[in-house]
Amino acid sequence: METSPAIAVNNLRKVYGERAAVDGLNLTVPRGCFFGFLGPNGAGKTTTIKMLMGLAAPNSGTIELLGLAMPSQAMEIKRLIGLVPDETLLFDHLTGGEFLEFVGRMYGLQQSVARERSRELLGLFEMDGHGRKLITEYSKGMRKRVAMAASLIHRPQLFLMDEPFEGVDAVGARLMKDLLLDQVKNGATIFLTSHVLEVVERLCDRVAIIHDGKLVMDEAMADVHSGSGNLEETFVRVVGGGRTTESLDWL
Amino acid sequence: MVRASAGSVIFTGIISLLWYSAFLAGAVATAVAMANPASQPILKSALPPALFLAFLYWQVFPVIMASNGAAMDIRRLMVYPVPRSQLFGLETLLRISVAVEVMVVTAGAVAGLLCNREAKLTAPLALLVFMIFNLFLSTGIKQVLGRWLERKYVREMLVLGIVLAATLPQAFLVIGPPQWILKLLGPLPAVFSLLPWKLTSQIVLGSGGGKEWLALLAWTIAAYLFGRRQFDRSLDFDIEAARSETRAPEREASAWAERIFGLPTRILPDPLGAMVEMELRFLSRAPRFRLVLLMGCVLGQVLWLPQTMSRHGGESVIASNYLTFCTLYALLILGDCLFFNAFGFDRAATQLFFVTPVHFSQVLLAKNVIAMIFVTFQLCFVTVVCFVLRLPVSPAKIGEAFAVVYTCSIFLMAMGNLGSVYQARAVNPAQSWRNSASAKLQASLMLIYPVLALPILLAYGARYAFESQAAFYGVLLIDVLIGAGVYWVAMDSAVEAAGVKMEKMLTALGQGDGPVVSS
Repeated sequence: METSPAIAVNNLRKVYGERAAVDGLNLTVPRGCFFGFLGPNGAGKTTTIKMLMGLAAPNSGTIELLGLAMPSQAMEIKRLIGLVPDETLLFDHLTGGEFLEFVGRMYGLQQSVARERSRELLGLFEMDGHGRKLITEYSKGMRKRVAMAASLIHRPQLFLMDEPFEGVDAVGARLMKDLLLDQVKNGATIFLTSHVLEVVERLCDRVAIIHDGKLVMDEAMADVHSGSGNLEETFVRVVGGGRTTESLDWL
Repeated sequence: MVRASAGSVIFTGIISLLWYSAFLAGAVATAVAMANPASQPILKSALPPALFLAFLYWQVFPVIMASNGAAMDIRRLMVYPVPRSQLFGLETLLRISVAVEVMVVTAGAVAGLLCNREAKLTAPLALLVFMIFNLFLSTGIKQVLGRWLERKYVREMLVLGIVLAATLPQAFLVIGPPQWILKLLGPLPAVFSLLPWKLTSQIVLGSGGGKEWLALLAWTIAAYLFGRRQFDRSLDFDIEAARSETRAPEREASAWAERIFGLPTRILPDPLGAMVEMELRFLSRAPRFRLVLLMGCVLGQVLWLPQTMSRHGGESVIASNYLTFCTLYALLILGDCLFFNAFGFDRAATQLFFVTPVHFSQVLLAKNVIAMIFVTFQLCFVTVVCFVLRLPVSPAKIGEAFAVVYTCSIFLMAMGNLGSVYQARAVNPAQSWRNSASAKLQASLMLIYPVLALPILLAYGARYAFESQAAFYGVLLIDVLIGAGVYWVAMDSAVEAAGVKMEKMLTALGQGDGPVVSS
């Protein structure tokens, strides 16, 4: 099982109405990898990650996470993965500490262990001053910090993160990046989507780009740098961007 | 955005058609009465109370029902360059949604007056002015209450006060008003003739002239000024500041509260204990739920108490089953958020139940356990109130109320688990004034509740037929066994449905409020 990839997606397809949000996606993410999954708006990133999380059922194709098949082995998979979705999973009338403890217990931790880890994580994310505030009073960045902390509490082997740095200040983002790099050093795999290409470029070993539901690039970051120079140029070239505002007379 | 299915639209359309058809029939009857000059003597006595009822329906009932029609989220629209006067106009027009039924019947009255050759031409105009008065007043009241309801403790006390005040007339009708109130009201009849519905009646019936018109217009202008002033104040109102005034986030949670929150964990194993504890914390802090719980505990009592305390009501069915009536009525109020839309307050956070290694059946079970905790709470609350008021409630009656409510609850939980999956709808727990049930669910409940009442009615029927309490409890026991079977089947169905409809359910629960929301 340890030799199986962290994520193996084969011919994945998801259709909404008449439009294929994900169209025949084939993707392999090796274990211990920091993997960036990029794409323009509406490309299918969030749909893909939702299918990996088990929040959306594919129309066809297979998904294996850590060698386990989704959805038949969903319960085993869920014990091993940590999630930071785009929409936060936070119960906003709990305090940050209560929420973390609750998540820990949902992942099978004993109450005392969950409580202790919750306290430590709040300290780690510099949230211990806000531990008694209700989540509804938190800013967007604070919510992301709590969501990230919740993904760590049960020490997962695989992290699925959809825009984890969105709305987070530079200090918080730095903290989160360091934590994630630490996790990868300890053997975890991180699969994240982000629009912040500089962050992806700095953190990720491999990067894939999805466009109109299809995978258009899957390379090691080293190859991206040795090729066209930087990730932004590669991204724009691959997704066919470059429209300017000159076509609008009134702008 | 979640689109309603064709079936859902048709179903809602049929229910709406039936509902509004009844009022349309009322409008036609009103039109016929207004068009007939021979109806004048009847209208003279019937029109003032009818207009007063219209006023109550427009102004008071939405407050009691905590449901305020379509409303604008003003703050979202303030970023656009729209003049405040236009926003006020929009908000006022949306008040029509609170009393569409009244508008329909009034339209009938106007049509009837136009056909009545003996009626003055200004008569229908007076009705229109009365409607405009109500629109402005409704706007102002909504704004005032909206601000007050943002303040934590004011909210609950305000609703309690309004509910109690709204039932005073009924109480006085049944038990008679105290003498000191009669003395106080003594000189007021002269003032009553200056009230808007009285003035409108006089003008419509032809006995009012220039003075009545001036007074009615003065009322309307006053309502406009009140509504506009409150609307402007609401635009400048800082919700977050108001909420933070009544909250002390850094204060240590009280020890007794922590002990209560921690109780489920002492009794139930994780993850069930964790989920029940979370629900207990969450719901006890959610303004909307606190309001619904308060109404559940209080509304039934104020409705049935006058009947019980009346001079002749001591031997009535209501009096002898007061506790059961109150607690069953509370189930109706609590049913939406505890049973039929159990994930409503969780909204997008419901996803957590699908991504953690917890079987969905355990999630539903946790929702059911928390529902029963609050049902038991309101049962105990009502029982204590009965003792305080020295109502004739015996241990046998208390036991009967508990047995009936718990039996009903088994069926409610069964249907509710299915409803929570099939008819999931996001509810903002911070909004006290939004109705959480979809139109389709509300219509379904009109059919479901009578069916759910059947097992209980059978038990009472058995008691009546055999004149035996043993027969009553015997049938109730059979109901419990049937209920357990129904619950088990419904649980299986709900879990299976959640697996299939998960995406649709989560999409519906992830819906935010737009600038105009309907309730």
